[in-house]
Amino acid sequence: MRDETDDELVDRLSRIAAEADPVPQTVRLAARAAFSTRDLDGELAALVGDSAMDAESGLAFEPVRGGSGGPVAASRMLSFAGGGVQVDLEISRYGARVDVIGQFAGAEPGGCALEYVGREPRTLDLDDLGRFLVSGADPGTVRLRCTSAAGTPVVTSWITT
Amino acid sequence: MRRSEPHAKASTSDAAAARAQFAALRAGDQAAWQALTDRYTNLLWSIARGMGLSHADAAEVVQMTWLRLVEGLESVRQPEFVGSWLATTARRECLTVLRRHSREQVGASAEWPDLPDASGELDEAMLREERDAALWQAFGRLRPACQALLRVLMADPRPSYVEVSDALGIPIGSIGPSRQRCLAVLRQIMLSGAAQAPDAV
Repeated sequence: MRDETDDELVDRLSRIAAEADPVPQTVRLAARAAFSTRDLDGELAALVGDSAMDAESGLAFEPVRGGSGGPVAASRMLSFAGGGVQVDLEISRYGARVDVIGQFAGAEPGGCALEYVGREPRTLDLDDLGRFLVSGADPGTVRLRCTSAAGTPVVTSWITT
Repeated sequence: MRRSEPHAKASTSDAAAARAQFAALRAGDQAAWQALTDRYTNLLWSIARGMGLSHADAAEVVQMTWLRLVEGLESVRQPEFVGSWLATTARRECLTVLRRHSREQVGASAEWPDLPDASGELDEAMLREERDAALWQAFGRLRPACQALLRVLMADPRPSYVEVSDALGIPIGSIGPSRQRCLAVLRQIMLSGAAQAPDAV
């Protein structure tokens, strides 16, 4: 064993890792299923601001504190822009639940939705100013979909709430 | 058997194969997608686990990385470097998760949180041999940077040094020396463990 080379040691570690910490089958299946989220028609509204990012990323906002006192977790602010649409989100987490407050600019009021991977989307009811509220949602990986004022479908980047 | 040579450039035939694969992906070829995910999911998992993420967080990072590629499929300019693209993205997603947790747990460090003890999560009954268990326990006692590096180097199939560099945010030139140093420390831990518990050898 003293003669084991570095390459042999790495090989042995690799074999052990494959037994001790294998990629779960659910992760492999989710990777394959990700292709179904491909959207050929939609234009991407990319993430242009995220308070959860640091300054180096170029996406950081000034730190924002959520709520008006009380035991409220800090809110995360996000902005997306693209396809003629801007979306601003404020996500607040309460234990295992999240509230999402958002505002669309440049979007048609109808047909906006919160999309999940492998689950039915949730239709968003926008008010006259393009605002919406989703209360007590499950945390998870989501994106927003809408139709721009020019009639183009627009989807945001995926985020984890 | 040397498989860890630095690959600064993909070969011409690799590049052609990668371009063909991306043409198939862009045409909606599910089989091409499955081949791509089968090749790189282990590397992405290794990156996330090596950075100390829990199973749930690592699963989230791997999924998010694939979603990002689907989202950006049209914008990947150099298909032959898709592995580097994925490694870079996975690393960024890991840092996002770590940052999110550090905001949730006030006082925790965002960059390198206290790693869970890898040996603690191990179901040792799953291991065929005691010496493998001892090696894996020793691995769990390496400092986090060594665990992160070796986990990525252990990925199956083995990543190129360009991919390793992007996965860890370290220069290509430092990978070889760091690998050597980390493995030397691992051997020392094994030896000192054996010295303390001769029965276990």
